[in-house]
Amino acid sequence: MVTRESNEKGQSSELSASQEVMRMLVDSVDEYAIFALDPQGNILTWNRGGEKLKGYSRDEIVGTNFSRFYTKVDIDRNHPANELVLAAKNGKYEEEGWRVRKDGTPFWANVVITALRDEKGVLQGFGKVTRDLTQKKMAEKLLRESEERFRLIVESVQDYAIFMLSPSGYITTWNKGAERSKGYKAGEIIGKHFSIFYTEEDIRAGKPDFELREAVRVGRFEDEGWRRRKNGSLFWANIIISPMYDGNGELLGFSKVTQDLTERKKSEDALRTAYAELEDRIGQRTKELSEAKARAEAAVKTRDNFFSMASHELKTPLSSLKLQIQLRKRNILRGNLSGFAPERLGELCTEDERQIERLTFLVDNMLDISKLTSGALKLSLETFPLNDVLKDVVARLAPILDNSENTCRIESAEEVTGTWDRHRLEQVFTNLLSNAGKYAPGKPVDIKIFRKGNSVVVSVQDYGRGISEKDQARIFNPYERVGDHGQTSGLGLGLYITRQIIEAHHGELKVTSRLGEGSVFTVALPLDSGRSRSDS
Amino acid sequence: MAERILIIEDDKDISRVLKKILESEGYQVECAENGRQALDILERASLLPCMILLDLMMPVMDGFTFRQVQDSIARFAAIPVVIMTAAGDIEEKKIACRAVAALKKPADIEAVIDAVKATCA
Repeated sequence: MVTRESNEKGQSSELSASQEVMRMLVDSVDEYAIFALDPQGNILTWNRGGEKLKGYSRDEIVGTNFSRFYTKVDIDRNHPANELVLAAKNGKYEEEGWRVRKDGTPFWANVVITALRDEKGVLQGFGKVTRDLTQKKMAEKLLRESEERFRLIVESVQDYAIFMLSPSGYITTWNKGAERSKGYKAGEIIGKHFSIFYTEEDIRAGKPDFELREAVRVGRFEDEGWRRRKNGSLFWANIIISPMYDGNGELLGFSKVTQDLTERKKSEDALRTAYAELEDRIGQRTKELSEAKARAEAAVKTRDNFFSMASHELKTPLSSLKLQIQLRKRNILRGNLSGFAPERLGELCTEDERQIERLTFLVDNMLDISKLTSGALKLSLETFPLNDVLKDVVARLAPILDNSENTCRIESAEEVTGTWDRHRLEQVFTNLLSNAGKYAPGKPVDIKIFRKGNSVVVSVQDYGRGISEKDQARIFNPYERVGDHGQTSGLGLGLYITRQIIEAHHGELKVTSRLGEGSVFTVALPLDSGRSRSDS
Repeated sequence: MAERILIIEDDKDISRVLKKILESEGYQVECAENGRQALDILERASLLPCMILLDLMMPVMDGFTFRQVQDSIARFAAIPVVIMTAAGDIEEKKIACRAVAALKKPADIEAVIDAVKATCA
């Protein structure tokens, strides 16, 4: 007994010693309110943590009911008592909830209530540990609110598609901007792979995966390029892909921000195009201006050449006439009349006539050119056989052609009559024949006249030096005198005027020529120039 | 023996009347239609002319070219040349052609005869 008693005593003293240590331990804890309740919830013990947390001293709190820590709402719904019931029933009850301090301020508490039973299992009371989680709660709340705000901001952004991708590129979130620019609703796109936005070409090239790899490797991937909308249309996008990691450095996924730059690109492209066009036009205009300047300068030079040629051409027959007349006068004054025998007088007159003919021809050409340039060339139409005109012209040019030792051969199978301007056609053939005399002296000239359908064709062929292909294009221009300057005489107007007259008759003038072999000028005239004119 | 004159002129009417004028003055006259023909005549001539009456604008070989060729052949270089031209700036052309005199077309018969006589004296 004694032993037992002493044992019990010893045990009891050991127990009380350990209880004391325990009490001190509990008491010193100031992060937690740790206290005991009786089965009805009246407070039996109190510790420093309780005092700090709830604001009550041991003296004022022990013996009161623990329900005073609860909010009115909780008290009204009998929550404190229910907690005890649940703790008693389950051995333990844990919750987080609002509690009230002595000064009335609420705090967010983690509460663990443990049922305390004796060896027989009879409920002796409860142990209660309360922890103040207000700071954590507030932080969580703030975080949640900030996350929510951020989510709302991201969601409401219209101009940027902002969404998240899983580590392997599947879409996990979606915002309004994404919906707007890409055309998908959140419900139909979340869970799809983001390569859906890429062109087939980019997909084949492995671009989507490359971009994720690059984002991981470099920390960020930015690009501009064509992306596809739901309706298949393309838009020009600026995209930024950023990898996101958790606290342990584990890849959570990617954020992707896409900006639709189609409009910007369009305006940039338009600007670039407009700029290029402008530059082109400036270049073109500059070129045109310098060409116009060159043309104007060439025209001035041509005109100067023309005046110099014209004076030379006019002075040649004048020189001849002047010297002839002065020679005769001199002979007459000296009484040397041997040159004036009656049969010689006719020859002298013919020579003078020829000079006058040449002067007339030159002056006519100069007048014609002024008419042609002012568009005042008028035809006086009459009906006559063209053969007659050719014969007349050949006869009239005989002195000139004889002078250049040309023999003229006319070949005509039939008489071709038509309606033309006689005087102008005389001019045409005078020009062509005098050219033959000029460029093919000493050679025959073959003239052929024949009818071809409703037209008459006259060809004038010489066997002179010919015209190079390059020059053939130039000979019909006014003031052009093909060949080196000074090598030929004339105003350079003959063929120009000739062609103008033929075209006024709705006809055609062509040349075929080979250097060293001679040239063929072919005139084709409708038989009735008047009617063709009204037809056309 | 009559002195010889070579006329180089493409217009046959002019050279014909010049020939008549100079023949009436007692010269022996030959005509060439261009520089090329004139060189042929000179090459063949046993007796060189006392002067050349030269037109400038001519086909085949013009007066300027003829003068260059003439000067390059020692035998012909000394033959004095009188130019005839219808163009302006006649003094300039006279210098360019190293001519002893220049006649402006249409020239007076006296001017022609005086120039020839002065040159062939």
